[in-house]
Amino acid sequence: MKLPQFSWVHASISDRPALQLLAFAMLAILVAASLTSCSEDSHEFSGAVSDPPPVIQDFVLTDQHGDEFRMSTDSGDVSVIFFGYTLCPDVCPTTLADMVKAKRILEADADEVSFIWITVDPERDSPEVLGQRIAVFDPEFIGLSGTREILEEVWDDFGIVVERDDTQGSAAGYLVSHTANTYLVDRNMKNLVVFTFGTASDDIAADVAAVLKDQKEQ
Amino acid sequence: MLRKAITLSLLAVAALIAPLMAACSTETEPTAIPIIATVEPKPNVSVTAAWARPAAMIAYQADADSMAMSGDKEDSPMMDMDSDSTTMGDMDAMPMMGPKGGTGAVYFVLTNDGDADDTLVEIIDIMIEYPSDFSDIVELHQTLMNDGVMKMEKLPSGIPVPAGESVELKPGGLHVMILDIKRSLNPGDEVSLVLRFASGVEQKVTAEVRQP
Repeated sequence: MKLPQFSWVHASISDRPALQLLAFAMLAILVAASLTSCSEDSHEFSGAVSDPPPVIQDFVLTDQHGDEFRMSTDSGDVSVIFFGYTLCPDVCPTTLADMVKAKRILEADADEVSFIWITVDPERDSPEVLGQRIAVFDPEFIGLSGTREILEEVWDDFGIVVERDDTQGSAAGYLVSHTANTYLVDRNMKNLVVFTFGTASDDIAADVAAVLKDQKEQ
Repeated sequence: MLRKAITLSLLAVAALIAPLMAACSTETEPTAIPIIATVEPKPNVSVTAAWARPAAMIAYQADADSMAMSGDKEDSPMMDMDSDSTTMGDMDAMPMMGPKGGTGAVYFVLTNDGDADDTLVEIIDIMIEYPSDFSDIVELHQTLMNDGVMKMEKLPSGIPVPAGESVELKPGGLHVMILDIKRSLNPGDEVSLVLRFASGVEQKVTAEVRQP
């Protein structure tokens, strides 16, 4: 290997301090570069990231107070969206509890985040019913219901599978099988990250914080 | 000599960058689950770590009267647009769509220290103070995940606990599903269950209510 013919290649012993200085400068530049990359692009998302992220269609549903909720204008800087139904005793409350934890971890950042629960059982989940369920977890969460027609469009847009099961011998009447993912949507309606059921609250909070930070720097 | 200097500086750079990169990754800590359970007799299968989710009285559309009863605040106004269909309370017009009240879930660990297999057949009762004061409808259910789709099903023949083995009821898996609850459960409350096993043993278990 031949070194490039820069003047310092011929440096005599008396030039050594210059060499040391150069080595130090190189080191400083590399350290600075690694620090910069750390703060900007090196956040590793825990959820699955789509590239390019799909942009969700705007929708209008009814929140638990009976007020109209338009996704494009009524949501925060980042929205954390998940699907479920109030009769569901196991998976849906687990997701809700995970989101309560994620919100707590986000601390002040949570003020800019909308946690949105969209029903997969509009026949039973009226706004009042959603409100009663949400009150157990966090009254600031947004619970959305609406007509099956509008909801089906929203489910399809997110790729949510919803199937009504008439359960054998259960007093529940029917149960609803549904995709249990959680979605992170940014202020431009980009569906950036998908979290599968059971993703740790810390990981969700970290991904939300990274997107918030990224949006602020833009 | 020059090469040595360059090599040395590169090594120093690598040594400095490695911990910096490591610091970028986020750390996660598993959360410990406190064990809260009281079991009275000591048969083959022991029941430990019992806990229940908080549960709220929910008034589904078919029952307008209990909606008024359970709403402890006036902050959610009655739906104006659909008031005709939701508040008439006409049993003929509104088909019953399952239970009237809210649901709850209880989880615990079943450990069979005996020599014979056993099966948790059913929950005979679930109560707060008096028999059946919490609910009359308790079922053993299982959640299955298939490609991210959550499906719940009733277990018709109970939960087998083979000799020497342990079975955990936990979120996203096996659970006790409580329907049509008569009272709300808040963190710190206690709810008691009477379990019946195939061996004939009946056991009472107390579960503390908490957020997971």
